[in-house]
Amino acid sequence: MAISEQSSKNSGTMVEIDRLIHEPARFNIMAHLYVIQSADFLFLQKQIGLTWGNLSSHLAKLEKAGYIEIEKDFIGKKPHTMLYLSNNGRTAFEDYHKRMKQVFKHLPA
Amino acid sequence: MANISNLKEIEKKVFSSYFHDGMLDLYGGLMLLGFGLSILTNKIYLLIICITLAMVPLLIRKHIVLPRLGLVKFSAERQAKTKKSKLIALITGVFILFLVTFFMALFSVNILPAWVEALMNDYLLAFLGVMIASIVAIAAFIVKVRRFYIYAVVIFIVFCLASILSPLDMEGIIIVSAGGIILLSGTIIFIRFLHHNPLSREEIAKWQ
Repeated sequence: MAISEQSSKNSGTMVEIDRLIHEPARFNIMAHLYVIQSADFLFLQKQIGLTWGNLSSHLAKLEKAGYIEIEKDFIGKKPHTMLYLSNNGRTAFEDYHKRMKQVFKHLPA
Repeated sequence: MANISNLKEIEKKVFSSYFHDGMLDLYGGLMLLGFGLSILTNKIYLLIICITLAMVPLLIRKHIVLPRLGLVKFSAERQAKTKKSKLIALITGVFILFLVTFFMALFSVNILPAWVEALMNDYLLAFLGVMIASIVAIAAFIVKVRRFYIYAVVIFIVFCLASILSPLDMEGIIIVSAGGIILLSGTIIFIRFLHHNPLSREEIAKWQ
């Protein structure tokens, strides 16, 4: 059996995983935003332990995919960024969770 | 990823992290210190001064802690749970206050049976200890911070000791020591918080 044929047969049995959420840092961001209503940039950064730039770049990717919403406003004169999971993001995270469970369902303990 | 796979644990961690700044410890420690000092010196104004000083942690939280910690809005479920716990704490507090006032009133007009009066004379501080420790334990349950359970046990033991040692006039010193220990613990936690959460350049620029 040719390698490409074997590979395509295997991929047919594999569950499709959302690669955007599968990345550990983004999974962490999604998981944190899933359990709360919203948080600002600083709070999320402290909880997850990413650098300012790293978090910004992951958030931009998640925002582009429509998984999170970023709201910029002012508290007094200070700029403030609140982040929350969009309905789309919430559904995607639940779906990811379901699929991952399915992947490991038949794994011996 | 093993340590972040449990969503309930993440939620608990996020919620309790909001109280790892030592402010509640400073607040409780100052209250206890004031109570102990007023017993020790028989000067009630020391209690009032300490209660007033106990408001300082609220200002510290607003101006020093939150710019370092950031803001979060918890889920509707968590908000409802917190509201319910606060209501239970409030009802318990009011009930305890009512009980204390009721017994004090009966005690002052001398209509309590002799054995109850004797019991109150001998174990008044121990009763008070049970009440304060209960309130602290409820606070520990609400904010899910384990060290508050330890404080509740310390307060209970300290007030029992104070009750036993009250004939030696040592109850004030013991309560002041307990307040001091909690205050010191709060200060250390606050310093550690400041050390672990320095203001970033972006934050300094933002808050100026």
